[in-house]
Amino acid sequence: MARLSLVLPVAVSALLAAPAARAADPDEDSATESDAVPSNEPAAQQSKGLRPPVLLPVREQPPAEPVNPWFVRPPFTITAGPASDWKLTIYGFAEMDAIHDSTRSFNDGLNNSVVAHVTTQANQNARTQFTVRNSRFGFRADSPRYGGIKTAGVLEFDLFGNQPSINSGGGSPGLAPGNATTTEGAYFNNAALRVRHAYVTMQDPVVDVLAGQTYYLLGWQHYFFGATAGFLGMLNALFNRTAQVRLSHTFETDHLNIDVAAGVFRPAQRDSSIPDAQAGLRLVFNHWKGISTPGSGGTTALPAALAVSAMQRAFKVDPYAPLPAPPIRLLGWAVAFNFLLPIIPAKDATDRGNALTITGEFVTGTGDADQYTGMTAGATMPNVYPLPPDTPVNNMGVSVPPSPGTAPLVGLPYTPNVDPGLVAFDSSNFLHTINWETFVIGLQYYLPPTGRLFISGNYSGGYSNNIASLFHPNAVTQPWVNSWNVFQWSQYFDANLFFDVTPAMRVGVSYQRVKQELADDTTAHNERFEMTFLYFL
Amino acid sequence: MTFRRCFLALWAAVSLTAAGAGCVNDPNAFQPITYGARPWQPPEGWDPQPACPTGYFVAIDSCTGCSGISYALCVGNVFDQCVCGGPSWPGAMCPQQLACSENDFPPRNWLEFTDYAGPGWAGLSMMGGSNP
Repeated sequence: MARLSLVLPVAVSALLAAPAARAADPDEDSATESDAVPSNEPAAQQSKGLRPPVLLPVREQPPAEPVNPWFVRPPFTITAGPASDWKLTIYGFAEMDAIHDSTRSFNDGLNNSVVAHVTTQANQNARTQFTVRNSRFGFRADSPRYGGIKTAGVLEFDLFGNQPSINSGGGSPGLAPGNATTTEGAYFNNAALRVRHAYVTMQDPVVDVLAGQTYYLLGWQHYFFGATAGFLGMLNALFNRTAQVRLSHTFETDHLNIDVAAGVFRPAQRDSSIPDAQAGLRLVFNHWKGISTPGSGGTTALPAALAVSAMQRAFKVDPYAPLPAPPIRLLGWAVAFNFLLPIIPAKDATDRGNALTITGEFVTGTGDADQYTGMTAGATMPNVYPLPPDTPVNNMGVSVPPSPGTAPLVGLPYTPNVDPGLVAFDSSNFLHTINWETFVIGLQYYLPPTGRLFISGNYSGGYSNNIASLFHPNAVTQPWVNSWNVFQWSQYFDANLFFDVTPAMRVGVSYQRVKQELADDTTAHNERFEMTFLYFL
Repeated sequence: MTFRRCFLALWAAVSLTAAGAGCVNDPNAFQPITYGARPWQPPEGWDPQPACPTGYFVAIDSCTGCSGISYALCVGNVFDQCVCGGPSWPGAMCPQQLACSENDFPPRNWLEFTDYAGPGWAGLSMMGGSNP
């Protein structure tokens, strides 16, 4: 805990002390390369009406005199009505990624998965994957104001839909070899559609309302995402979406905007019967703008910002015992601190040459792993009740045949009523929420003279102070425990190089390294080389 | 200003609640393994063998607040909770060697641990034996 706690304060202090000159010209942004929906409203109107704390997928109109018109890319918008004020905007990008990993631990997304144990076939052999599953498209519909209320709706999809699992080969975490239910070819070539965003917004001068599925408020996603060619969410970084009802308001001044937001969110465990709650506060320094690319697209100029946000949730988990029995009640929570600071600022989204921006995040919490993409850390829940007395088990706690030629004894099925990774039973069947502390720090520098070529690097870490004790290798009475597949400490580093071939086309190369300390105190790492090609609609 | 004050108050309440949640999860809070279960300390000499798994019971007569047969419940691999006997349920069986009255049956779906007739076992007192 201590090592993580030190990283962010030190980094923030150093940055705040750095002499960051502010841009002289407070022009409006003119993001032109974006996976975000463009808006056709006049810039002045957007600044009043489309500046909610929730960063809606809005690409602002280019300024009248952009610093570098080369980056300007018009939105694809269809209008209707006598005043052409009913609008439908199509947006998205086509993407292809070529990926080479030093182990067989991951599919196309790293997704906070577990690196294969060093003694496994999966750890000792490489893997190469080509994928288009990160491609996406979306629609945004805007209607004119009625009674002072402006409404909009967004539908966005990508190709990461639920698909049958593929053979991970050689004992990769999460799937035993040979348990494939589809082929590699079908998995990648017939990628399934997945909803990313589906929400409506209502905005008026008093309060903005968002209802539907989009990013969580915790971490003020996606304002503070780092630039990387790797698929988001980055390891150890807050990144997820869910259905929610959110209220927000921006208190505006010339130099400083204060965003406040609060909402109820789909509960992580529906059997808790209580929605999750999240709230946040963000300070936005309007005239101190820097260039930011959340992920590999959507490059824009964002004002410097500092934010804090928090989450609380309830669990009611069926005990690991014969039912009926009273559900075990626990609380999960998290607090996140984020910053985006333009060290070398920019005037607008086209002013990219020699722009340098740093982003960062620090999170502490418990029972909050679902706020990170795919992060269970291997912390599975039991799937069988305890074994009868005298059941022979091996040193992994797995039941073995009592005598040659006989079948091993197995317990009756136990059906957990909560997703894995959030809570876990200890060897005394005492239920705990799983603690996590994470941090992310990222730099992105847009090379002069134009910024068409830019580089970025990210470093992140995540540590749990109780997961190793809950999934201890000596937990022989818990047949579901496999400490080889659980990590307690995860470290991630990447370095990326991007080049804008045209205003609509970007290519990038990336090196990503994941190192994890598993619950049995061994370490494992994976190195990934990735090349990405994107065409923005 | 009224709206602003209300909104800030709402935000402060939510965030304080979230921040305070960290103080609510008591790592020593009792987690009952079945309805009516309570903490239980086995008597001296208690030594059922082998180690028990969750879901198994031993009939006892020392669960606080209970009359008649009560049950020590195995949690993890130790007996540290107990519950009073209750009404019968389909498939319920009275512990071996004992005679159950109407409200002496074990909790639903729990199984009797392997034969144990040592200190703490209900049979010692019910059948006139000594029970330290």
